[in-house]
Amino acid sequence: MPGLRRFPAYLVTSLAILAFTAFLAFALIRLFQVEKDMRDNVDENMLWVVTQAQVASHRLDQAVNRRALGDTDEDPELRLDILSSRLTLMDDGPQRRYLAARGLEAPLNTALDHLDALRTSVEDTATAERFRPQAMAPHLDGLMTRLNRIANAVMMAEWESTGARLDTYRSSLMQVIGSVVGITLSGLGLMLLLIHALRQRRIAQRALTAHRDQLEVEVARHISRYKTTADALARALNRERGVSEFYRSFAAMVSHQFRTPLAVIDSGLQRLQRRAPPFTAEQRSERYQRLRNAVAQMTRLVESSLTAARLDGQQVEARPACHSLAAIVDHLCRLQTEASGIDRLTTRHASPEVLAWCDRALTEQVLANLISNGLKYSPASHCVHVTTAREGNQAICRVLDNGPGIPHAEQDRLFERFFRGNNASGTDGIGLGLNIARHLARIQQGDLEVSSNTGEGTTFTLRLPAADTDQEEISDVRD
Amino acid sequence: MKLIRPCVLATALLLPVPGLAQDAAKPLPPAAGEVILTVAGQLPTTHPGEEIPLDRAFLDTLPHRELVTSTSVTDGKHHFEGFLMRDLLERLGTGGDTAVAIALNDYIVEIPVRDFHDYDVVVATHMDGQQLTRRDKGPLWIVYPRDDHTELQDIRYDYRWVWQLRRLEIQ
Repeated sequence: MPGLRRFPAYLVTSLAILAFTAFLAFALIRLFQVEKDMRDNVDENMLWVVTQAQVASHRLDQAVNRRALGDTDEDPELRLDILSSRLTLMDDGPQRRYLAARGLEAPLNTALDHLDALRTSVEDTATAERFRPQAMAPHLDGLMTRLNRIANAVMMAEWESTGARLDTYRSSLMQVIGSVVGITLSGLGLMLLLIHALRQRRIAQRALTAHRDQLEVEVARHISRYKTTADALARALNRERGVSEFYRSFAAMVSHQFRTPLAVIDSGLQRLQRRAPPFTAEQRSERYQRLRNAVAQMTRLVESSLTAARLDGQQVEARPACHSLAAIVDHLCRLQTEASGIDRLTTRHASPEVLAWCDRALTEQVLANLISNGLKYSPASHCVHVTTAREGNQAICRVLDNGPGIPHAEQDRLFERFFRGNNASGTDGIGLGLNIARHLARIQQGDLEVSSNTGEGTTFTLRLPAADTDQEEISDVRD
Repeated sequence: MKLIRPCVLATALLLPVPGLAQDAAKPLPPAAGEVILTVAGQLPTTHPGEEIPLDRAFLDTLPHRELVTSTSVTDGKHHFEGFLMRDLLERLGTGGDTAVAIALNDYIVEIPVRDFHDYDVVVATHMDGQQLTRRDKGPLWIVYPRDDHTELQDIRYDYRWVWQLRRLEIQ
């Protein structure tokens, strides 16, 4: 199909070029012919040549007669020479051919014969009376008659030739005009073909560009698909690593931290088994309580270890929504007070209430850890203060205690796993809580910081992304 | 004649240009032979108001020049001999822009003097080894180097080929 379509296009173009060239060549040839013809002008000179010969013959006649009448100024010798030269000229190649072509060879030959006769009559005569009018008259008459005939015929031939030449010029010019029209038309055709070709090329270029763009999009799409797959694979691999890390950490934790409470429980149970010395009900109750504490510690340990291991394995995911930070704090404080039976917590909330973009369960876990730490590491007579506020685009919750404070050197390491400060040596704990809390804050796009001066107390600051009221709706839509 | 000509040519070649000028200043010897060309018009002060009649002996003293060319009134190429028109005018020391050439039959034509400097215009005395006579185109024929310059192959130059030249009037 494309071959068929292309063929006529080339054919038309070739024809147009051919026509253009042919018309141009024809016009040029015709113009050159006219130009050459205009230069060939022998016949235009011929009438002058013949007329001059006539004049020369008359001048000779006149000179001969006047000399006979005694006019010595006349020079028949010169006049005869001039007449001879005029006839010699007519006898020369181009002139003779011209006359012969018009059937005037016979009168020319006769005229030349008369000239010869004139010369002979002059040369045969004695010097004194060389130019005798009576002897010369018949030859001069014959010569003049022939020259007159020739002049007459040449005049008509010239007019005929001029007329014919004008006809030829007119016809040639008409042909040239026709050719120019042809040149114009074929040129116009070529121009249209050119415009058409240019337009086709532009369309083709546009199509090519579009195709290239589409290809690029396609390639990009493929690449992004491969990238997505690769990312998914990387994530899957990470998750797999996380899972194995989770098991490894959990195993290490269990072996390291669980022995002590298990030993406590075991020795307590052994004593109870031996029943000696016999315990009072009060003593028994106290020992049971100790055992329960050990179990509770273990439970906490297991929970913390699980959380830490899940964090390591990237198994914990935050599902943020818009929550009131004050509501979370109040809820936690109430629970804490109910559990311990002692009210050591004070709260202060900024107005309007601070909204945070966070996962409620994770935030509760962080704050519960901070509050229980505050209560644990400050004297029983002192309160722990919890405040909420908004700073820029962050929702802030601070937990302040009046405990012994943490030395600056230890503050940097405070969030490391299994790190326990010097002040904490008297209390139970394994150094996981703050590490987990910071992790949980960070996976919610927040952070956890500490500032403390020894002897003045410690302040933990939880920073979370602030939420605006209208974001609540967005979170609902997302869920 | 054949002996004299090379000598004249050699002399002309040896003479520097000021020598020619000195010659022009000198009065010409009176024509002893038959006068075949008369020069009139703007003549140098040595010939005030005069015509200069020239005979063949004087014309033969001008540098010899040969030219082969075709003509508009004959067939084939012809071998012309004679002298350059500009050599003649320089020899006479004429001024003027136009030379009016007059033939024996009173044919008269104005020729720009520039022609003689632009082209080697020969005043021929011989054609194909034969001396030109009054019965043909002699004794003098102004011949243009028609074959050497295409612009000379034009009817506007053809009429300047004056034959049977008898008189030059410099204006």
